[in-house]
Amino acid sequence: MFRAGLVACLAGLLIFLALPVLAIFVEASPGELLASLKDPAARDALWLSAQVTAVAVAIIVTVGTPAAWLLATRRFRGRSALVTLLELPLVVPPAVAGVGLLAAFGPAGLLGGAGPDLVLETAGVVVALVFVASPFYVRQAQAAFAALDPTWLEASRTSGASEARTFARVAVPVALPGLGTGLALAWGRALGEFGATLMFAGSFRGTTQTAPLAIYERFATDFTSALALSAVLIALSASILVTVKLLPGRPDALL
Amino acid sequence: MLFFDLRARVGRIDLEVAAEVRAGECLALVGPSGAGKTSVLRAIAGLLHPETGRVTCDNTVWLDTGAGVDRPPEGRRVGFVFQDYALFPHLSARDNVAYAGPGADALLERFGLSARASARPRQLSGGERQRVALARALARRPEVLLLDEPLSALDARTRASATRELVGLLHETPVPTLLVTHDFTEAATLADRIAVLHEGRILQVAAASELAAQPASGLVADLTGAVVLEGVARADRDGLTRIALTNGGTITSTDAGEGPVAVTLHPWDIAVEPADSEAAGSARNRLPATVVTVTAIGARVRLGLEAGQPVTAEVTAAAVAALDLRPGTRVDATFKAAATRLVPR
Repeated sequence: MFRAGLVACLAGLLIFLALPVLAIFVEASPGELLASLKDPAARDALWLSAQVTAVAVAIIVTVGTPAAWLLATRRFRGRSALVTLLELPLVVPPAVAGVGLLAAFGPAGLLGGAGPDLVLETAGVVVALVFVASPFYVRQAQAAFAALDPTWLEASRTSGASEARTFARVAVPVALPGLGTGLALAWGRALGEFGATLMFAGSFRGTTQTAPLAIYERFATDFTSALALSAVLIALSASILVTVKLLPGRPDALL
Repeated sequence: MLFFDLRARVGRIDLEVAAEVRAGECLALVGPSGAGKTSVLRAIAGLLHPETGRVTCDNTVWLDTGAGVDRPPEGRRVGFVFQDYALFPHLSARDNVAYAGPGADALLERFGLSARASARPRQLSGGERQRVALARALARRPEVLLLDEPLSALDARTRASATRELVGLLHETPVPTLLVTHDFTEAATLADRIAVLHEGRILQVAAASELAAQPASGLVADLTGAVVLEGVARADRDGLTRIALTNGGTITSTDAGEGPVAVTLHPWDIAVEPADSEAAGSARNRLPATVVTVTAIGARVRLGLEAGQPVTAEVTAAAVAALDLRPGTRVDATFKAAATRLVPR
């Protein structure tokens, strides 16, 4: 009786979660999906998404890896508070993130006019993606570095390597599976980013309209086209998920 | 020559040690776990920073807290062999050795590892890992060799051959070597001198034979494998010393002593006779005891006895058979007054 209940719950959950995903592929025929991908606006959106997520992830990895190393290898006052602060974007609603970015980098914001124009620009999309996706990478990288056997790092030092060389030649290569997992998670988050981008950078074809924004723009007018873009994003997200599952360092420590 | 004088608080231990190791000499740091042995190695290598201390190697100052000198680990030429070897898991045996310096192929050949050069650490046996770790330490062209329990991660069979190889290596090595081990026999085999470390302090520094023959304290005697009995000594009129043992019994020693002492003697100086048999020679000490364990080691048998205090005796297998010794058998443990050494407690 109890066992039947467990199975029923799992089955219900599975159907509920899988149905919308399946529906996207069932609603329109493959021919229709491919045809609507020929739409230049849809292609622009996908191409822009590929570019901005690649740039955002590159920035996150470049800055986040040394920062995660620092957090994983040093003990200092206020470290826990700092880690919590860095994780805040994980729980902040995307709309709030958008407002925050406007308040900080907008024309009338804290740093208004100080830097390059970000609002309604492609660069603004990258800023929004870095903001929402970086905690996914930094958390994972920090856990990967903390899991390293400290005697490997000490053996590197006594073998004549500086800390910088130890970082580059031992820590990063050994932690690579964990770093790869973090990268995939951050990329997945960046690919799906919607709210913060819309509020901070707007939705202009060719400059700020990423794939999720393009889906939103056309779902009322051209549902088949929205389905086609959605199908592409599902394929990409699924491949990220499979990659993460196949990497040895699993994101078990994640939220 | 390596010189070190270190004071550091490590966990619950106040480390306070100083010693010199000459070129080509091997000094063993021996003591129970938690004595601070590994911390000494780490401080010399620059992995641990003592509150005050001085480490010099030949004429180079590696650490001088008074003068504000504290070279980083990569600035001290040490060959460090870690207890679990700490080989880099993502590099082949050759790349592990090459990481520390040139000449990896020659070193691998010297350690008989040429055929395993491209294997990763997890594909190597325990003995092979240990040799890669030694080769990596030597690739650094060290001015000091630091070995942290280099044999403890090996199984008994591998350990015998690894010990022979290590003895050979230490004979060839022209630099000072500091070896950490908890095993007195291992230290006696590998080192020229042994420093006994207990709770962060060096109790005695001497050659192995001297430590066994003239331990400075009961702790040292205990470590060398001798039997240690505690009691209170007083000089008697016949020139001998009588010791009233803790938990009962009195024994006689030819050594002089007064007040609380540790009586030390070797297990092979203790004989076992049937309980209450009449003394053949009154100069012998006689302690009533019960057999607790009987362990054969080749032709010898090691007897664990309970005589108010634990006593270990080594007798022949023939004696065990003749006396029908088994756990629970009541016997008398006997030993000459001249076989005992007294050390103040």
